[in-house]
Formats: sequence, C-alpha cells, structure tokens
Amino acid sequence: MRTSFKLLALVAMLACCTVLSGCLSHWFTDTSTRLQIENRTSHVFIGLDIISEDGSSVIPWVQDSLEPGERSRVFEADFVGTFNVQLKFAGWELYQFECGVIRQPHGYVLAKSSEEVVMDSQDSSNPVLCSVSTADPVVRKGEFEFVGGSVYLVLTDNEDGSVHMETK
Amino acid sequence: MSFSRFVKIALLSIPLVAPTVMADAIDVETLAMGGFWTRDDQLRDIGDQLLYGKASFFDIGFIYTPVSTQIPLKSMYGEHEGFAFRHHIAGMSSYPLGDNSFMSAMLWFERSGWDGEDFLLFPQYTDFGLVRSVTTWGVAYTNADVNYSVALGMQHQNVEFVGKVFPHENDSLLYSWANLRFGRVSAQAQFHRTHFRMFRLALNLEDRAVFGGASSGLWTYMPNIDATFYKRELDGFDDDFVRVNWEQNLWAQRLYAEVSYDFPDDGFHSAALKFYPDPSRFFSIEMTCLRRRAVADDWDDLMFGWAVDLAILRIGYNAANEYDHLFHARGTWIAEIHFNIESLNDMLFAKKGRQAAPLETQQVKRKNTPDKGSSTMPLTAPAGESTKTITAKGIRYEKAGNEGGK
Repeated sequence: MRTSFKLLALVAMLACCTVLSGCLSHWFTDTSTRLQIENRTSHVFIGLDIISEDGSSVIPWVQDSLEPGERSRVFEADFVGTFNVQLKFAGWELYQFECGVIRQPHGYVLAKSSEEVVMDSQDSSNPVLCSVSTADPVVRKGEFEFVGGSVYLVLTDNEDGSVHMETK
Repeated sequence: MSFSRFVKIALLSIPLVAPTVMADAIDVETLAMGGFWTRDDQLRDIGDQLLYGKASFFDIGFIYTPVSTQIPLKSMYGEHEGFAFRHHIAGMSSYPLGDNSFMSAMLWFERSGWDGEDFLLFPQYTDFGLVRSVTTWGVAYTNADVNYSVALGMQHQNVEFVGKVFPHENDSLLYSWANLRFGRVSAQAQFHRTHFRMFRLALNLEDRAVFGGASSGLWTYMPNIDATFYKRELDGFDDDFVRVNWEQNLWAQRLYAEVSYDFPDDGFHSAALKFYPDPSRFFSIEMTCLRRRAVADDWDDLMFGWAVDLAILRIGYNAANEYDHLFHARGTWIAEIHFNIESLNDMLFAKKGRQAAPLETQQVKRKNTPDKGSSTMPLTAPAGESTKTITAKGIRYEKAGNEGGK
C-alpha cells in the first residue's frame, strides 16, 4: 500500500508539472502585448513599428496618429521580449502665410500650432503663422522590452531631442 | 525554518537561478535546421534498438523549461520570449514468428520547435513560433539464429506552423529508410524520394551481457564506432560531411568516453565522459565538451557542460546533447521529464543498457504480524495447549495471551 501511495504521489507530482506546463501556464505567461501609447512629446506621433536590425523589414504595430497629449487605441501583437522599435513622428516646419491665403496643406496641422497661428482671416493685414506637417516623418529608433500583457507606454521628449519611452 | 537558514538557501540558490534569466537566445536558422537533426536522431535510435533485435522498447519524455526567458528566440526583430519544446514518444514491439525469428514494429514520434507558450498537446501558434513533427515508423525481421535483422520504414516530417521569421521550409517531407544488421555490424541508409540523403555504418564491437555476451573482461572494452555520411545542402551548395562517433568503455561498463569528429572540414565536434552507476543505464552523470564555431564570423570556442539523468528526470547545463538537439540552447538549466525502458527476454534495462537492471525482491511484511512476546500457534498444534483460540477464517490460530485479553 505504501509503495502504491508513493507511486501515486509521484504520478500526481508529474501530473502537476504537466498541467502547469501544458495547460495553466497561459494564466501567468503572456504571449502577446496589448499596447497603448500616450504621446506626451511636443510632436505628432504617427506610428510605432518593430523593425529588423538592418532596417530592411518593418512590421507596423501601433498605427494611430496622436496629437501631443492624446492616447492611442489598444493594439495587440505577439511581441513579448526585447525588440528594435521605430517611432515615427510627423515632421513639421513653420510656414508663414498671408491672411486670406491660408490653405490647408496635406498632412497634419499640429495642435500646438493653433497657439501660434493667428486664425484671423478677416483681418487681411495680419500675417498668419501656421505649422504644417511635411511628407517625411521624423524617425526615432531604439530597443525596448515588452513584458507582455497590457502595456501602457508613455512617450516624452528628452532634452537632447530623442524620445523617452516609459511604461506606466 | 530559521532566518539564517533561509538566507543561506536563498544565497545558494542565486547561482542556480541566475543562469535561467541570463540564457542565450537560440536563432531562427538553428531552429529551422532542427528537423534535420531530429530525423537523424530517430534513425540513430532505431539503429541502436535493432542491435537488440527481438527487444521491446518504450520511451517518452518532454523538455520542461518553466521560465519563458530561459530559451528565447533571436530573430531579426529582436529577442522573443517563449519556450523551446521537444516532446517525444517512441516504441518498438517484437513478436516471435518462429523459434528463432522475430518481427518488430516500431514508431518514433517527436514534436519540437519553439512557441510563445509551452504546451503538451495544443500549441499557441504565436506569430513567431515553429511547430514541427517528425514520425518514423518501420517493420523489422530478426533472425536470432544467424543473428541478422532487416528493417524498412518511412519517415515523415510535417511542419504544422512556421512563423514569419523563419526561412522557407517544405511543410511536408517524406523519407524512406532501411537498416541491415549482421551480428554487430549495421548499415543504415535514408532517402528522400529517390535521392540518397544519409548512410551510416556502425560497428558495435563491445560485448554486452544483454546480448548473451560477457559482462566483464577484454571483449567489453572493444570500441563502438559509427561513421555517418550526410548529404546536406547549405545555401544551395553541397555541404556533405561525415561524422564519426567513438564510444569507449573505460571501466566496467560504467565509465565511458565518447568522441565525435566531423570530416573533412569541421574537425572535432564533441567529447563526453559518462558515468553510469549501473550498466543498465537508468542513471547517469555526464560531463561534455562541445566545440562551437562560426566559420563566417571566424570564432571558435569550447563549451563545457554536464547533465545528470535520474531515470525519470534529466537535468543538464550546457550539455552537448541539449545543445545539439534543442536548437543550440545554452546558458540555462534544461530539465527533461522522461522515462525509457527496454525488455529483452527476462531482462529490463534502459536505452542502450549493457546489463540487466538488478531487480530486488522486496519482502512485504504483513501488517498484522504479531509483536514480540506473543506467540502464534501453528494449526497443527494440539488444541489442549492453548487456553483460548480465536478462529480467523482460514488464516491462523492465535493465542490471545496477555495482549488479547486486556
């Protein structure tokens, strides 16, 4: 009886390992990352991609356009680990337009520009300062670790012009 | 547990746990090559089993790496956390056809690869996983009189799932194989359709008690040598090579040395010193040295490792076997929960066992054995000698004495 009890205990232990290995591990192991981004930079965020080391292959992940201060939708992908990340921001320049000849250029008009732009088209004597996006995005590359599960990523400006990524 | 003891255990466990989080990643090219080595491994196993001819064999096991950072996958995008897995089950069953002829049926199955989640039956199929299975089956005829065996069979490789990062792989490959053994000399060949892929010549000269040979003496110190010619293509070019393995008994079929060498270019591959406390090989301790090299990057080093096999659990660290057969996994502890057993005539032993396992006859004590001081009266004793008897149907008569009455 004692021998059979030992055997039973052994089988139970193996079964536990098996079950933990095969069935329950997904309760505490995430195989995908649900990523949401908050853009606290001063630029318009237009996307996050995972890229290959040589840059030849790009897998788009977060594709929302975010004005400074906005949050993205949640995007889920099978990225758990440390990956090469590419952050894309709308490149922008300042243009001056005469009042009355304001035209909406293609691309994004920065929210920040509204503070600078005098949108008074009635007064033709005032020039209008308008910020517009250019066609080429500004790209910041780096390596980032995604631990899996729900990840809330906050982007902020560094003093040297790079972008700081931090999970909250 | 006292606090100081807890601290000691915690400190001691740091070197054990640390390597699991600092493991090296396996790369996608090695994982893609895994099928080649799995197919070879299964045929090598079958060749070994057919040496025993009329034996029956069963083997089951799976790799258990509980932490997802233990064996990450290195792709061009970065390092993916997940699990390298290798599940296998194998069996061979032999039946007598006549007095000295036997028919054997065999089936080897392995499912291996890498996935984001570990599993037993149902993979997660994450975008960067690879799940592949290899099945080898065949039938063999063995004549114990003349001591030869002939075996034929097929080998299937099926790729269930291939992630985005892996090189193109044919999702279904079909091979055929044949094994011919005469005495201790075996020849084995493998074909893909009509194309020759592999040829192995094995000389197992060492005497083994399980074959009816000696269990000690000069003949047990004869070498076991095999040479395998592999037809291989790398990047569209022929990269044929020959691997020679030498297994040598050093002491009483308990201590063995193994050396593996690749011709013509690669040279030394690995060496191992293996100690089997018993020649039945249920338990083993091994120390290995493996040469790692990357010709393109011009580096070359030696990796030392070890493994302990406790019949149902094998734990290895940088052992050559795990490196070769688990996609070059290194720098982490790898546990395999497994069991294998082989029976031949009345003998039981583990895979490639040299002698039968010493089976003990256990004496089972009955629970109701009387204590000292009491006496049991035999059934044949005259009834008058006892003051009182208790009849327990068909078991025995017992004096009630001091214990029974009080």
